[in-house]
Amino acid sequence: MEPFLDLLEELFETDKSNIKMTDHFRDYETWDSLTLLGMGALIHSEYGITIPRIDFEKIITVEELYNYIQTHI
Amino acid sequence: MIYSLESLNILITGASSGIGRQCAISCSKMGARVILIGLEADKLQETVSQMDGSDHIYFAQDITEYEKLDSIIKESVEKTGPIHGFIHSAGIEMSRPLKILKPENFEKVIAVNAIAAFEIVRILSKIKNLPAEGASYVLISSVMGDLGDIGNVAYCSSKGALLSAGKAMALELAPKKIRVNCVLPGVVETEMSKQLFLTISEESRNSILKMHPLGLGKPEDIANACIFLLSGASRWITGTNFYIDGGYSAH
Repeated sequence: MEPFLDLLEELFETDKSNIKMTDHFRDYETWDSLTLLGMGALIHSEYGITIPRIDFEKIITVEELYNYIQTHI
Repeated sequence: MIYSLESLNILITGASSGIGRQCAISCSKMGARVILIGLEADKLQETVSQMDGSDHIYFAQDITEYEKLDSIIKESVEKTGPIHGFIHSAGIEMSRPLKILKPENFEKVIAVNAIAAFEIVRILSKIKNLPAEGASYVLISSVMGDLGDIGNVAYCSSKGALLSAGKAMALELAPKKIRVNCVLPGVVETEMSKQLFLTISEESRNSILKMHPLGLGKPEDIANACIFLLSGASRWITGTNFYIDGGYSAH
């Protein structure tokens, strides 16, 4: 969980304490197309996976993102 | 025939796939004997199976293991004779916003996209590896070596390095009758660009397409430009940037 939160902290340029599992990450202030690109790049380099767009569209919350990664490593 | 590569020995990196694979195939059709370098032996064999001629050789080798390059080129020259041409088509992308780009990301992409090419030029341009009539080296850069692109700082820096180094090398190697030129492709339909397109939004994809008045390129478009630069037809061309981009950089 910790490394995952570190990743989000870096990506969204916000302190870990501001991130809640129920947050809709697309609502974060720093969400934009570059952050989307960065998320893909970080998930690929940290976890070795690429989330297909069709799956990614269904991932809404931080928790769902975490669970997706855990079940696809 | 002035555009022919008959009996020329051409070394090509990135020959396992994409532009490099097509360069190997197209050069073989113009009569060249090709030394293929790539990461995966089975993909290199696949490339060879699509080539004309039967005396091509290949090496499955990570070109960022610089210390191995000397012996590979030595072995090639022993088998084929001196090397008349080089196409550096090996390359990786590094789409990553600046906020998460670290020095090790830069080091990784610059190593394979640029430094490996420089090391190969260093070795090939030695007198013992050089034909008496000189040689022609083609570095495959990108329109992104000369233009900026959001999310691509590291990739742009690596492709830009080829452009500057290419000019300096052209000047320094001219007395040895070696020509050095860069080819700058726009977006070409390869496995690499296909993977990249999967990671970006529909909007981004469409705007990239719109930026190419003649549509996206095919590997043959780049290979054909390389053939010209390797052939006697480009005798008086060195230190240039050859844009093969469907009109992208005209904007």
